[in-house]
Amino acid sequence: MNKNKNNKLLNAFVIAIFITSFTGCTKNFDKLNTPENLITVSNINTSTLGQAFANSEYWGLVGDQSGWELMHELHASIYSQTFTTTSSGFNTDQFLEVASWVDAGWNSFYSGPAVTTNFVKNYTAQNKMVAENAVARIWSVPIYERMTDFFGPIIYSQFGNGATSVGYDSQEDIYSDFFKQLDTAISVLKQNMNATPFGNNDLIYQGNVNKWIVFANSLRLRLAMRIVYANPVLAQQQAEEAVAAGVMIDNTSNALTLTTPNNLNYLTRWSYINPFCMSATSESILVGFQDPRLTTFWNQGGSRTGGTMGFHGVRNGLPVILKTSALRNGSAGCSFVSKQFLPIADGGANPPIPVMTASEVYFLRAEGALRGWNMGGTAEDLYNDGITYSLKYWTNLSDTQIADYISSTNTPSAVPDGIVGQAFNTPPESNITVQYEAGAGFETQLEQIITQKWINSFLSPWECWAERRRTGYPKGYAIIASLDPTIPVTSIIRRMVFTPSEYSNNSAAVKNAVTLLGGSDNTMTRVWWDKKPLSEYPDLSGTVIH
Amino acid sequence: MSQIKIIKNIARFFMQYCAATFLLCLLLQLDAYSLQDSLHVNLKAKQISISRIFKALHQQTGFIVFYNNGLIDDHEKLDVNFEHEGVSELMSYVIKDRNLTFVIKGHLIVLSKKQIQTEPSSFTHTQTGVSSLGAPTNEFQVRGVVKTVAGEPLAGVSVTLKGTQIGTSTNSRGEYSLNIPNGKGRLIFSFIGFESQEINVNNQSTIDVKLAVAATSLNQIVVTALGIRQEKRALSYSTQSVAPQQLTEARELNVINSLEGKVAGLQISQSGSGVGSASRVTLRGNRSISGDSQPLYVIDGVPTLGAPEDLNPDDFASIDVLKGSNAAALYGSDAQNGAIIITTKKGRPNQVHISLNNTAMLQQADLGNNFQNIYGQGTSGVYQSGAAYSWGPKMGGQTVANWTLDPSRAGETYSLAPQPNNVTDIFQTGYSLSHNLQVSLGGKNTQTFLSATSTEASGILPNNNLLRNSALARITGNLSDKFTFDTKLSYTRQQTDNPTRQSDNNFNPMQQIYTMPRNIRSQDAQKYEFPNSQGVMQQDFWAPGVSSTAENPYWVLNRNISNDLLDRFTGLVSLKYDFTNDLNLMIRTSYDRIDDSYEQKDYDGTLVRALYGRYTKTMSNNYIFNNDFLLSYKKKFNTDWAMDVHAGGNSKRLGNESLSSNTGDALLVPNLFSMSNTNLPITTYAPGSPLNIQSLYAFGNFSWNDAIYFNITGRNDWSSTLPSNSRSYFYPSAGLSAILSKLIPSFPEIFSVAKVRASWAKVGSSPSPFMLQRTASFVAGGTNGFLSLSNVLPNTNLKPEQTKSFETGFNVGFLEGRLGLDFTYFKTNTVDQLFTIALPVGSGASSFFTNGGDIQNKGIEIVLNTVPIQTKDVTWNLDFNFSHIKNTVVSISDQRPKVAIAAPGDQYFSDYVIQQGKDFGDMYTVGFVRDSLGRVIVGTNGLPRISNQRNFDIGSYTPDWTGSILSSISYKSLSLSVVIDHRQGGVVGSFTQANLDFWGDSKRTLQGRDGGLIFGQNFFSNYTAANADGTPNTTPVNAEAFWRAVGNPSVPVGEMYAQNATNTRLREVVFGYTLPKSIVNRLHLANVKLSFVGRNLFFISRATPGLDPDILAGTSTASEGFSSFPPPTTRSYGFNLKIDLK
Repeated sequence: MNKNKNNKLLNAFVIAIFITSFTGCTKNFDKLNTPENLITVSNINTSTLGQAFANSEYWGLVGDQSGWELMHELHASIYSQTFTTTSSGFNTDQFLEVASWVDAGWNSFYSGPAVTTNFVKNYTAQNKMVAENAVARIWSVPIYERMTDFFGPIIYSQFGNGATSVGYDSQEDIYSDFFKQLDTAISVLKQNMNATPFGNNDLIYQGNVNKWIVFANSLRLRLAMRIVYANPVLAQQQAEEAVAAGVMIDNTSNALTLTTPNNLNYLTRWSYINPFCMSATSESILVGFQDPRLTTFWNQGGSRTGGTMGFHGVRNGLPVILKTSALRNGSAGCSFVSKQFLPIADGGANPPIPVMTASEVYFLRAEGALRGWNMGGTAEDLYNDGITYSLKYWTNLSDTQIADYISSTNTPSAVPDGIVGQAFNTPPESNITVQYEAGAGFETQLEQIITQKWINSFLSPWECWAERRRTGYPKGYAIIASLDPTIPVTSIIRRMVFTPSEYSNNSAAVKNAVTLLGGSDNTMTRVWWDKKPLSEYPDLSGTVIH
Repeated sequence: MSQIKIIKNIARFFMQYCAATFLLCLLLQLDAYSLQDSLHVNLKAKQISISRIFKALHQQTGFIVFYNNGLIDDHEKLDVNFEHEGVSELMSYVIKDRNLTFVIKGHLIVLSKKQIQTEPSSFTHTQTGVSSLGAPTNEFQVRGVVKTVAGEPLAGVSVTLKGTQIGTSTNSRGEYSLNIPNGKGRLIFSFIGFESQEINVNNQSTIDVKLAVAATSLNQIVVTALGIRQEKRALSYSTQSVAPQQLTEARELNVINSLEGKVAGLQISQSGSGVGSASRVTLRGNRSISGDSQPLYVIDGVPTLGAPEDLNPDDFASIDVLKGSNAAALYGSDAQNGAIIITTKKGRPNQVHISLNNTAMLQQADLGNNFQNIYGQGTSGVYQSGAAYSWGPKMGGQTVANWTLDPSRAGETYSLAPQPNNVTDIFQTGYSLSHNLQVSLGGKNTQTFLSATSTEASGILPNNNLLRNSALARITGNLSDKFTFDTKLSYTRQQTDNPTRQSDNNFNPMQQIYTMPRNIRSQDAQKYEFPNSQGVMQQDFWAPGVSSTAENPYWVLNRNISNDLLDRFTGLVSLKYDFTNDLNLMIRTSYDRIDDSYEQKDYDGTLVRALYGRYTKTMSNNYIFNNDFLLSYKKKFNTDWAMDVHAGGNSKRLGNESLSSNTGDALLVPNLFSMSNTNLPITTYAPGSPLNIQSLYAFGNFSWNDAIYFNITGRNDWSSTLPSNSRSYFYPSAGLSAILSKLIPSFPEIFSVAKVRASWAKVGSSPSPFMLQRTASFVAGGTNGFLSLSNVLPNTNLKPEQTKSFETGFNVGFLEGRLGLDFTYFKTNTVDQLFTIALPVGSGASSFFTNGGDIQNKGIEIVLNTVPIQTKDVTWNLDFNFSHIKNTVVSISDQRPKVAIAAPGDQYFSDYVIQQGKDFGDMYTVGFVRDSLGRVIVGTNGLPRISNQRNFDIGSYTPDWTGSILSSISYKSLSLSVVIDHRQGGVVGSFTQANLDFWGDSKRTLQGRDGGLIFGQNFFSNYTAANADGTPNTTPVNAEAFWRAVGNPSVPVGEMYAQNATNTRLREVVFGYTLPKSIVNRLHLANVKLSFVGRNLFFISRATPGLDPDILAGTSTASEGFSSFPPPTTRSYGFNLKIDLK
C-alpha cells in the first residue's frame, strides 16, 4: 500500500469523524435537552389547558391512585363507620395513626391536583379567560374543603409560592375565603352565561355555566352548614343567600364526575382487594330500615364478588386476632360492595363519581329549616325530598315504592352475631325511624336528616366523616378495641395529624399551624368548625364491648 | 431434585469439555507446523529508526520492547537486513555500541542502560566485565552471578558502586565483574521489575546475588486514563491492579464481586436480585448527593455504559483500579468517582494460542436467621389457622385445623408442631457452569483474538436461573508500517429467569419465606394452589389479605414469574497513524448498547394487583457512542529529560428509551398472558435522557532522569444538559512524583526504593438531562386525556459540579524487596453539587434542582506487600490492604442544611440523610420518645412511646475501616491463595429483623410471651424508662404487645434495629495445581492448571449474627445500610480448569 493512498484513507476517516461529532459542537444542545414526549409548561396553551383542568376534576378529591386508599379507605370511610377494616396490617380502625400514610395522602393532593388547579387558575387569570378562571375557582373549593376538614389548618393561600417555607391558613380564614371565591366566581359567570368553559374537557358539567352557578350555590350551602356550630350567624346568612340564589333541585344538576375505563370510579379501582367490608353500622341502619339502597351498595356475604349468606356487617375496631382470613375472603359471610362497584372485569358498572347531589342539598336545607332558617320549605318536606332524590339517584324505585319507604317506621336493627364467631353486644344503632319525626326533639330530627344524608353519601366518605364529627350522627358504635390508650373506644377521631414530611421540609410553618389549630397536633384535637358541645353527642358507652 | 440436576449438569459439562478438548487437540496438530517460525524476524530496511525496528519486531513476533523515554535517540537511523533470524540477534544488533542492554521476560523485552550515570558530564564507558577506568594501583576485582530468586540468571542487571560512576551490567549468563578501588564500598544491584539490593564489598572477590521480584511493584506497568500505559513509578496517584487470572479462577457471575478484598478503598455491596445481580461499587466513599458515587468503567480506553455484571473476565488482559479523580481526570465528568480500567486481550503476531477455561461452582445459602421454634400461628396465645403471626400457642403436637382454603380439603386437621426447616426447605443448592474458549490467531499483519463463553447458573431460590453467552472478536494489525488498526466486536446475550425482586414487596420471595409462621409445614405450603369452581387455580395461603404484602412463598416463586433478556453489543474501531516516530494520531469510534426485554406474569390468585392475572412487558435500550481523537508527541530533550504530550477530543452521546405495557387492573381470560387480553392495556413510553458531551483535552508527562516525574492535564467539556452560559467548563490536574532513593545518593540503605508523590485534580460534571424546564406529561383519562405538571422546579442557573481532589503518598521498599509499603492520604471535596432539594409540597413542587454543598472525603489507604518466604521452590506473598475513609458533609445549601434521599423500597423504615456537619448518609429512623432527662417515656399500657417522626440517628453504613489479607503460597506446581477481609463498624438498619419480631418469628420474641416484661427493668435494662409523670416504669407487658408495637412494619422503631456491621470473613480460597510438563506434553497441551475454589466460605466473626452487610436492597446510594429481606449470603465452591492447548 503506498503512502499517498494511506494518507487519503486516513484523511477521509478523520474528516468523517470530525463531521459527525465535532462540527457544530453545541448547536443541537438545546433541542437535545428538551424532552420529546413531554410538554414544556411554558408551551401549555388553551388547547391543552382543558386537559389540565380535567386532571384536577378527576384527581381533586383523592389526590392520586393510592390517595383513595390512604385517605378514605383507611380513614374517612371507617371513621364514618361506613366500612370496617379487615386487614390486620391496617390499624387506623383501632385509632392508631400511620403517619406515612397520611403523609402520602397529603402529598398526593398537593403534588397533584393542587398543582394543576393552581396552574389553571393562574393561566386563566393571566390570559383573561374569565369563565374558565371562575370555574377553576369554584372547583378549588370542594377539593380544599376536603383537605381542611381532614387537618384543620392547611396550606391554602400560599400554595405554589415556590419557596422552602409555605405558611398555613387557619380553617376559619379558609372557609371565609371559600365564600368569597364562590361569590366572585358566580358573579363572573353570570356575566358570561354563553361561555362554555373547558367544553367537553369539563368532566362534570361539560362547560355548562348555569350548572356551575347552581353547584357553586349548593357548595355554599354545604359550607354554611359545616360551620354552623362555629359561626351560626355567618352560617345562616350564607345558607339563606345560597338557597335564594338557586341550588340543585333535582338530579339533573348533580355534580358527577365522568368516569371512563381510563379514569375509574375510585371504589371500582380498589374493590378487587378487600381490606374492608360492610360495617355493623351500615348493617344496622340499612337492614333495619329495609332500605332499598342496601342492595345498591352491598352484596350478600360469601365471597368477594357476592354470595348467598345474607347481608352482614362487622363492628369497627376489630382487634387483629379477629381479623381472620374467613373474614377477609368473605367466607365468614360479611358483605362486600355490590356488583356495580366491582371491577369492570367482574361486571362492575364503573359509575360516575358524585361530588354533590340534589339529595344532599335537600338534607342541608332540611337541617337549615330545622334550625329555623328560611330554606324555602319545612324540614320534613325537605327531608322527604332528600330521600326521594337519593332513591331516584341510586335506585329504580317507583314513586309509590319511594312513598312507602318515606313513610316507613322501620328502625335500625340489632346486628346478630355470626360474623366473627364471638357474641358482641351490638344493639340497634339507633331507634330513629325512616319516617320523619317532626314532633321529636331537635337532636332526633337532626339525627334522621344526617343519617339519611350519610346513606346517600356512600361514595363521599370524607363528607360522612366530617358530618359525623360535626353532629355525632349516625351514632354508630364504640369500636371494639383502641390501640391508643389515650383514645377511648367511644371516641370519634377528630382529624388527621400534620404529616412527617411537613415537619421535616416545612417545619416552621407546620409549627405555626399547630398554633392556628389551637390544640396539640393529635387526632383528638377538634378542627375550627367542630364546636358542638361534647355533651350533646350520642353516648356510645352502651355499645362498648368488654 | 436439584441435586440430580446439578449432577446432570456437571456430567454435561465434562462431556462438552472432553469434546472440545479433542477437537482442539486435533486442530493444534494440524497447525503445529505453522508455529515453527513464530519467533523469527524478517526485516530489511535502510535508514530506519530504532522505534520502527521495535514496532516491526512487535508486529512479527508479539514481543513488546519496553524502555524508558530518552533511552534511545530515535533520530538516529540504521540499516537492517535480517532474514529468518532470532529476536535476540536483532536486539543485539540494535543495541550494539549503544550502551544498552536488554532482557527478555515473557513477551516483554526490557531495554535498559548498561550503566548508571548520575553525572552525564563524567560519562564512563564500561563494557561487560571490563572496566575502562584507569587502573589504579590498588584495584580489586569483584565477580559474581546475578540470578532471580528462582535461580534463573538475570541479564542486564546494573551493578554500580554506590556514590561513584563505576558500574557495569550482567551478561546473558548473569555474570559480571567490576574493578573496585581498595576493595571497599557498596555495590548496588538493580534491575527493572526487581527490588534493588546493596551489598558491602568488604574485600570479597565473589559476590553472587539473588534479586527478588519487587513487592512494591513500582516497575509494574499500569493502564491509565485513555488507555495509556505507564510505569507505576511515574504515577503521582495510587492505583491498584488485580490479575485477571484471579477473576477467572475464583469466578463470580458478576465479575466485579471478585474484586472484593483485593483493592484498598474499594467497597462492594451486592444487590439482592439473585443470580447475576448487580453490585454497588464505590471508591473512596460517597461524594455525590444525587449521583450514585460509583466509578466509571472503561474498556479498551473507552467509557462504557457501566453494567459490569455481564462482562466476561476471560477476555480481560488487565484490570486497573484508578481510585481517585486524580487518576481519572482525563475521563472528565464521569470519572469523579474513580475509574475501573479494563483492557481486553488481543492476538499476538505469528502465534497461535488456544485455551479453555472451565469453572463449575456450587452455591449454598448461609442462613443465619434465628427463628423461634416454640410458638405457632395465631395471636394472644390462641391458634388461628388464618394468622400470619406466630403469637399463637406453644406447639405441642395438638390437633388443629389446617389453614387451607381449598374447599376439597375443608375440615383437614394436622398436628401443630415446630417446623424448624420450613424456611431452609425452600432453598436449593445453586450452581454455575462456565466454559470459555479462546483462540488467538496471529498473522504477520493481522492478528485475531476470538473468545466465546457460555455461563449457566441456577440460584439458591428455585426457578432463578441465568444463561449467558458471550463472544468477542478482536482484530488488530497494520495496514502499512505507519498505519495500525484495532477493531473489536463483542456480543452478550443473557437470560435471567425470575430475578429476585427486592425489599418490602409481595413479589419478594424472601419476605414471604422469612415471615412464614413457625408451624407451617413445607408439604402444606408447597400445595400453593387449588382449583376454584371455574377450574382456575387459586392461591392457597394461610393468611390472604392479612397484610397488603403477604403471599404464599411457593406461589410467589411459581406463579409470579418474570424473565429478563438482555442483549449487549459493543463495537470499536480505532486507527492510528504515525506521522513520524514521535508524532502519531489515533482516531477511534465506539458503541456500547444494551437492549433489555423484561416480562412478568402474575397469575390469577395473586393477592394484590392481579385480578384474573396480569401481564407486563417492558423493552428498553441504552447506548453510549464515543468518538475520539488523540494526537501524541514524544520528545527527548537530552539524555536526562523526556516528555510526551498529547492533545485529544471526545464526543460522547448517551441515550435510552423504554416502552412498557401491562394489562392493567384485570385480564379477561384468566392466566392468558397476552397484551390484548384486557379491556385496557396501559402503555408508557419514555424516550430517555439524551446527553451529549463534547470535550477537548491535553496532557503531558515529563520526566527527569527516571527520578522525577511531572504530569499535567487539562480538559474542557461542553455539556448539553447545562444552560448555554455555563455549558462550557474547564478542569485541570497536576501531579509530581520523585524517586528519592535515586535522587539522594546518601539515602538510607534500609530502603531498597523510596518514592514520594502528590497530585491535585479538579473534575467537573454536568447534571442529568431536562433540568432546565418544567414539563407536563399527558396521560389517558377523561374525554381528551389528562395533563399533569411535573413536581420538579426547573433551574436555569445551573453550574457544573466540581470535585477537587488532593492525594499524596509514598512507596517504600525494605529488606531487599521483601517488604513494600504503599501509603496514600487523600482528600476530596465535591462542591457545587447538582442535587434536588425537597420542597414542602405546598410550594407547588416537591423539589428543585440546584447547585450547592461541599462533601468531603478524607482517608488513608495502606497497601503492604511482603514476601516472607522466597526460595527456589516456595514463594509466599502476603499482602495487606487497609483503608479508612471519612465522608463528611461540610455544607449543603443555604436553604436546606439537611437533605433526605429516597431509598428504593424503604417506605417505612428510615430516611437516608445528608446533613451539614455530619457523616454522609446517616440513617434517621423512628425512635422512642424521651423526656428531658433522656429517659424513654412509657405509656400507661407499659409500652414505650414511639416518636411520630424519623428523628433518631442510627448512624451510617460507612465502615470505620476495612482491611484485607491476601496470602498466596506457591510450592513448585502447587499454589494456595486465601483472601480474608474485615469490615470494622458501620450500621445496617434491619427492616427484616423488625418484621421477624413483629410477626413473632424471631428467637428474641420468646422472652415474656406470658407477660412480665418491664421495659427498662427486666427487659432492655440498658434503657431507662419512665412514666409520663417521671416515675419509673413498672407496668409489665407481654412480648406480643411489645414487639408488635416496636417491630410494626408500618412504623418500625429503627433505634431497636440498628445492627453493627462489623465482620471478618474468609472471602476466597483458591488451591491450584499446575500439571507437570511431562504429562502436559504427552497430552499435546501447553499448560494445564486445576484450581479448587471457595468463595464467601464463612464468617470468621461477625458482630450481628445472620447479618451480611454486603447484601443490600439495591445499588443506589440510599440503599446503603438498608436491609429489607435480602437473600441470604451464599457460599460457593467448585473448581476451575484452565487448559492452554498452545
